[in-house]
Amino acid sequence: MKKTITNRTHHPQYIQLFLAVLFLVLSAGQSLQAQQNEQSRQEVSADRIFSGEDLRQINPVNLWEAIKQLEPSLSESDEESYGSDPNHIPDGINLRGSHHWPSQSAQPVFILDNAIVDARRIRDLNINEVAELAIRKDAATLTPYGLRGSNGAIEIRTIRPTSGPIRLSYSFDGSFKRADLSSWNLLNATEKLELEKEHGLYQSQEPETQQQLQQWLRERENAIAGGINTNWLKVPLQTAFSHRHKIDVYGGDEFIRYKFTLRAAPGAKGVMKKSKRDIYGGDAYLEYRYRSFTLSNCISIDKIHAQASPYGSFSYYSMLNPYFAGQDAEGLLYNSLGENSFNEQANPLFETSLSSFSKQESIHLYNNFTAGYSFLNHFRLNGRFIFIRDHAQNDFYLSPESYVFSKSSSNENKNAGVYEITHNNRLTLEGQANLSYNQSYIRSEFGANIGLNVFQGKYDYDTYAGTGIPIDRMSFISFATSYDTSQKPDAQEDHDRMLSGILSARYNFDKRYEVRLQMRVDKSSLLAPEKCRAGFYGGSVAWNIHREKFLKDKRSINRLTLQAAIGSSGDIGFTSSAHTLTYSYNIGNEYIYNYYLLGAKINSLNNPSLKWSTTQNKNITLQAETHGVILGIQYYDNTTRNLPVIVPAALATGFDHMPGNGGRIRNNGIEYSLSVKILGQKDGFRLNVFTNGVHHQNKITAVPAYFANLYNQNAGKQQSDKILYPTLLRQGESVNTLYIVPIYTADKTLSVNQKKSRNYEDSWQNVIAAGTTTPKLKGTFGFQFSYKQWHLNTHFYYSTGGKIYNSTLANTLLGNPAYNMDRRILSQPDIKQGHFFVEKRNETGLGTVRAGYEFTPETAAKLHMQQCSIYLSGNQLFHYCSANYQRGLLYPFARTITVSLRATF
Amino acid sequence: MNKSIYLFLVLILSSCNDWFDAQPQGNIGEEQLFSDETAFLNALAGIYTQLRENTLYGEQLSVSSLEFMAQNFVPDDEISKSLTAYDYSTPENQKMIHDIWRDMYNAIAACNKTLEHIIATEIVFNFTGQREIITGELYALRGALHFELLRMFHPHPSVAPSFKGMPYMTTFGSETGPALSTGELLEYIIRDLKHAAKLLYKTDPLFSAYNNSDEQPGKLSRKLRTFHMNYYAVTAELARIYLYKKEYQQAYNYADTTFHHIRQMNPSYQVFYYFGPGKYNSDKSFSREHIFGIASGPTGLTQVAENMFGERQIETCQSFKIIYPSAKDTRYRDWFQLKANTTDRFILSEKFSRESLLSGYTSTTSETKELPVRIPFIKLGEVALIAAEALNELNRTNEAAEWVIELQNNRDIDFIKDLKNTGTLTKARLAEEIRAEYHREFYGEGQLFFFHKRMNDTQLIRYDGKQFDMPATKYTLPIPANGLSVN
Repeated sequence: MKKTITNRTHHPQYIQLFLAVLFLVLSAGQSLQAQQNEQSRQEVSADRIFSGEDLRQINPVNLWEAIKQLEPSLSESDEESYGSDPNHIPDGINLRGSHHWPSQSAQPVFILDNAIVDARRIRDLNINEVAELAIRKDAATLTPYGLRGSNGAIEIRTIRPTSGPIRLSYSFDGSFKRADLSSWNLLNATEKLELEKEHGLYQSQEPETQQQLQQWLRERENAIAGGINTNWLKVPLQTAFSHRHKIDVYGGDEFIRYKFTLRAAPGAKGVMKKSKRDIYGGDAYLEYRYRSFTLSNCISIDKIHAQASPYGSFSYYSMLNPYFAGQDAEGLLYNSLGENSFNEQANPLFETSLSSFSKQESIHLYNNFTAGYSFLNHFRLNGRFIFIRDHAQNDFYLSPESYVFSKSSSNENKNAGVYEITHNNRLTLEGQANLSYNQSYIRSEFGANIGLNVFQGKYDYDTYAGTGIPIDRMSFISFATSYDTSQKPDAQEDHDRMLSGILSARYNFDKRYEVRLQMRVDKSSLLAPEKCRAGFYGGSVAWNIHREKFLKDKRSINRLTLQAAIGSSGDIGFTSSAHTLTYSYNIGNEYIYNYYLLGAKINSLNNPSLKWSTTQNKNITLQAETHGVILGIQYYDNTTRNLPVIVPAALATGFDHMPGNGGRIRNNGIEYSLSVKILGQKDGFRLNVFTNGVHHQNKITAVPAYFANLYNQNAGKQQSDKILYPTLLRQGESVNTLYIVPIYTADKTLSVNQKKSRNYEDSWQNVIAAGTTTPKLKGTFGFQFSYKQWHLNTHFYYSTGGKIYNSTLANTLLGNPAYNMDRRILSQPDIKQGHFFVEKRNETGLGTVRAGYEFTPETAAKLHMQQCSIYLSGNQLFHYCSANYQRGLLYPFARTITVSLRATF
Repeated sequence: MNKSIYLFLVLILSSCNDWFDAQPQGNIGEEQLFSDETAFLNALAGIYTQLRENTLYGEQLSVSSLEFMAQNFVPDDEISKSLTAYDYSTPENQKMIHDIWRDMYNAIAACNKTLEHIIATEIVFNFTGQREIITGELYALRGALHFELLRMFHPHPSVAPSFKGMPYMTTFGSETGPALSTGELLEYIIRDLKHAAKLLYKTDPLFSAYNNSDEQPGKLSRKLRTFHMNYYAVTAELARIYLYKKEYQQAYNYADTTFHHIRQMNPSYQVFYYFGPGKYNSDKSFSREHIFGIASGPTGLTQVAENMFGERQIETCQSFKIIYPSAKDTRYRDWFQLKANTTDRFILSEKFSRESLLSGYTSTTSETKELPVRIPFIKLGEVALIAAEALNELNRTNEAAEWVIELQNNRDIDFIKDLKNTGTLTKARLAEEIRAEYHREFYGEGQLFFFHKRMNDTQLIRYDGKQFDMPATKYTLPIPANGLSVN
């Protein structure tokens, strides 16, 4: 069948035959739409489905934070660094572990109302729009995602209007945010100067230098005596107040339904000064039904004004010495701190008084059109057309008076000041056609679905920079006198085109046994020319044990379902230059110098039969419900094969190696979820406690030796930290293993200074694996309590058994005492044998606490409202971790208090 | 309903495969590159640029490793010492051999890929003959580069005729051909070179005499022909190969054909010719005599030479004075300098020095620009010696002597002239003189080692002047691991 779908017109009769057979095959469809069927609500799978309310209970304003909190198997790379940065779009997102080598990053596929969207759209989506969110992890439900499914899928369905008289609803959220500095403990001015004296920074053998040093020492002692003790950490921070508004007008009758939305988040600030992300947008949704036809169209426009904080990365402030003041007694700013001394530093107060900025303006257009037609009682034909256009322009301006340029010689002042413009565009067009058949008999049900998807995406970016800006105030590209020769203009355009066929079938007997089959075939422009068609299969069986005769009478058991699924999905993981030969010009290396005979050389040997990587998922789920207790246990085992690797080539081809497939990564684990109804509706009290968690393991079960050696050698070149090595590939280890340069296994008699000065050039063969960052158990717990109109819910998170490289401690003990340090330096800890700064990371925290009051219909009516509720939420209020390290190095974490109002008129 | 869905699907499923061929911009894909005529020039230039890499003619195969192996220089470190001892198993030498094999085949692979396109392309070339010239050069390069590998990695056919080692690569990709015998390889090489000669004959700009004003951008320039594998380079290479095979008549014929450019073309239009004494200005390496030389990068060969002779001060061999008995020899005068603070140690410091520039080449913008030192691939001196040796072996000693006399005249020496005039020149004496000329003519060019291999010399004079036994196996480099297939 796979062959027939993409066969040419040479054999039209096969296509006809295929279609005929298909119409005879009775099977059921699987899509979020189909889930509106009653049958699907009974289905149990490895997926997790959350309602919009579930999400809003966790976080009233931030959809992505809510998802991360609710789903413990979701992890984001670098999340410790970016804190509460409103402009950070996550790069690497893993669902159930990583299915690729450490140097690559991947994301699950994001689906919004059946349209493929990018992570940014999910980040900016208004949480109040969400009707339902599904996290797809199940082997069988991922198969229909084909080449996009290997990393999981996050599907969102937005709220559609119901019929009724015209209504208006308004939602308001006002948030106060303050930075969470509980993990930052720095020295004060007196302590710092003492430390510097102890380390002999004011001593020198040469008398002239000694004199100069002593003079600086005196200056600083005087400054401290005069009361200077700058807390630099507070300088870039503010208490951010931001507010969001949303107005919906909706209604409809049996023919037409409509919903118009206006959204504004004009003051969406972050805790670092001047960082913000203001979003303004509107949606128009129209639905028309006539007999068996349905047409709907949703158009949505967003305009975003974003600005990065000119205060730079937060950790810089932890290095500034507290005995420096940013300005003198009259308020005049110093150009730099400690000018001309041995520990001169840029003065952030001066830098931020300049006109430098980093801004982004973007427009996002989204249109989703669907049409449906039911016929012959059992058939339904659906079509969908999606158009998404995103355009963003980034402007970056660095003032010519900045400290960065002052250090260069006067000749280079012609190149002071940089203005850089970057454009990022994205255009996607998608067409879907889907035919489903559903039939019920007395004791059984059939369903079948065949679909065809066409996807075309174009992503391009270009960037230019100009330099030679004479005056600080000239903050526009027109004032640049030349192109910035240190960074040449750059541009890239990528295309992604895919044609897919999806087939699924469902059979349910007596609501007791259910079998589902899925199949998908993809033909993609990103695949290698000789292997451009990919096929994926999956299936699941479910057994509703509680419907069996022997359990049917037991009223206490509401549900006991066992489900097992197996399926495959794929991921591309390589760029087109791996399978298609590419050339580059020998710019700067002309054949005959001065005579412009430029050579074009082949970049690397290509592999035209390079394959995609395939993940085979297996999972077994057991779900039981009894007496108000809902328990779910799941075991999953996913193996990814045919990862992109490098294989050696015969040298007579002219190359050492070429791209190939190989390696195996295994992700397996157990997930549990438990929810207990302690009080149920008695006297209006309700109390529900819940907990869930996942025990996850990731292992590189196979990696080809040639590729591992090449990868590890290359990793060695990227080493930037003295002790932490970039992740290596070793068979039997995880992709999250920490690799440490073992400097402390040697001489314990070395003093701290001696240890610091040793040469850390250690080859990757000697590096030690010191545990993995994957926690042994990670999850959530909390309770939900309500009494009449009041409710209170809390959501805690916990994580235990993971390891973390304590870079704060490493930088403190091995860092440069000329800059400010963590307080631990005072207690002079020494490193135990075999410690390596890798510590256990057991953490817990209060992610959400929310109290709310829902007006009764009568009270609301008095205010001329249909419905009204008020909430007060606190997010990320409390965090504890067994390892003491600084969190939020680039942007601090924040504690948020939000007041929300929801009213419907 | 059936029919419309079927039609819809057929339209969707059978529509342009081109829709899937969307290449990202920013990288130049193969199809995209070769959609334009200048791409072929660029690809060709890319191959020549590859040849001047340090792993190939930029260093190892010209002035460095092959010269140590010819005992021309005194080694100053472990690596050079191991080369003079022919110890190919040290890690550095293994890497050098690995790189030579791989990079030479890389250039061959680039030839094959470009040939694939130029043969199949439907582009109409703007300038007549351009297509034939480029195709001819590609075939010639393929043949010549395989011959270079053959000279290194196969024993001489007279020593081990049935040795199988290298593949002859004619397609680009991850598949390699089978290991072939020396005879089969020579057959393929000669076939490619003859095909190249046919394509280049008359189309090569060398054949016509015209002015600089006929130069146009995008057209292969006549003045720069000696930087490319031109027609006469092909005939010269064929002469060299036939001599290697000991087919003397053929060798002489091709050598003679090569000299047609000097004998028949108006001197003011010649692109290569003998440099008479004192006629070469600052062109110390006599690059006007190169029939084909690889352009060095602005800091290529001169940088290597400076490192070897300026910093490391590598000396010439002990028997230097025996090699150059006459102080009038232009090579002795202009290539070497006395080493500082010595009275009898010499250094090859002038031949490839920064001051040694090619001048007088006019670019397309009619400005006179200088070109940096060129790496000789094949030159007039070698062709003359091939003609002389061939004729000598065919027992036409007097004719052979003429060739040597002409060469020596241009070097301001006259060892043979006198002998011939007195009628006491014997075949053996001439052969001896030809051998002596090989020592003199190719200092620092990486050719002497192959002369010894071709003559199957069982005893050599080491750099310190002492004679030693040279086992035949040492003339053959070991094929590197993974050379033919992945283990």
